[in-house]
Amino acid sequence: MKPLTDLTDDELAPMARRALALPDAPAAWVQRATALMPAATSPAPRVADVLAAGLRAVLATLRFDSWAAAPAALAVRSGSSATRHLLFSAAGRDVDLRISPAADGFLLTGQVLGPDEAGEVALAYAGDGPDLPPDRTAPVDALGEFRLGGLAGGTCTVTFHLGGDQITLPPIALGAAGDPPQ
Amino acid sequence: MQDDDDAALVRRCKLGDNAAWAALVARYQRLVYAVVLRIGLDEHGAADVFQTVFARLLEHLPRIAEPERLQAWIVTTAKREALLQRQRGRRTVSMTPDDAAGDDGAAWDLPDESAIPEAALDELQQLNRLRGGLDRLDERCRVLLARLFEPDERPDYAAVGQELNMPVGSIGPTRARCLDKLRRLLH
Repeated sequence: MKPLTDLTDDELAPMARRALALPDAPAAWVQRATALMPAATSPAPRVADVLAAGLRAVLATLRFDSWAAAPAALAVRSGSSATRHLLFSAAGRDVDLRISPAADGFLLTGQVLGPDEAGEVALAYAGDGPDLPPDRTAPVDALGEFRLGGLAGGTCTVTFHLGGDQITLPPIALGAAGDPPQ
Repeated sequence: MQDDDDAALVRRCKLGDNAAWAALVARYQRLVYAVVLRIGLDEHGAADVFQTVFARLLEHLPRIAEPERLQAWIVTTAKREALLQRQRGRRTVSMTPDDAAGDDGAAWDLPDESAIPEAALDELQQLNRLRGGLDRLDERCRVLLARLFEPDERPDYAAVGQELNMPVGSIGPTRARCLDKLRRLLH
């Protein structure tokens, strides 16, 4: 069969006539088929898929830092016994982030305050090489809460997928390079 | 959304995007409908098969590695499900005449592939792809070609010109330009 793009006008015209004559399925059938999707709703999307899907990317802005320091990379210094509290704003949402040193690394917890229901948070370490800690993901639950534990030190990027938005926080350094968390 | 290719729609469906799913259903509803009609199912059977095909598609979406083969997958699934439905109908509805004829019924287990040969399926896929291209044309071309290619009617250029407020002499060249646009959309 000749490809459509190779057809002459005289060949394409009768094909177009027949294509336009293809009947629509009954509207009720189409509606039922369309309604199949909510019954099989997929789980929260993964950030890699979001990137591929080209959804709206939003860079969050730092609004509050309990350590009152806002360099390009927000350092969580090892040796501090206090939990660091950070507040970001983006696309009508506030992200309340707490970073604490723990026995098995760093603990990152928080809550997204905004209009969305559940979503996903992903943490990716900057750089490359075989020693780079693996990326981590966790669900953002129906209350907007999330938790990532046992994190290794290093500079990382935290990204949320919420609704149609992908929200990326400024880079965050978990501990100074080489320092184990306390 | 209508201009998104299948790969983009599949990606969005995997993210739970209902609008993308609706666009996929809209894109392929005519094709599935045409297949089930050709198999000759009654209305209830055809409706069941139509739903089954899209339910299978939804289940299959996470495993789709080659979205460019989506149309072929849909056609194959529609044909298989329609033939199965027809077999089921024969088994439950048409026993009496065949029993009377002494038939052991074995032949009923064999779907009649000749009901819709591969060439006809290929042609249906082409027509559906072409219809998708026609639907994506700009309004001027879409309206003109729809009017010129109305089924079973030879176009009266004078009437078309009057309806669309076009000089009769420009209809032919505009038709050619619109067909060129259509080919580019189908690339």
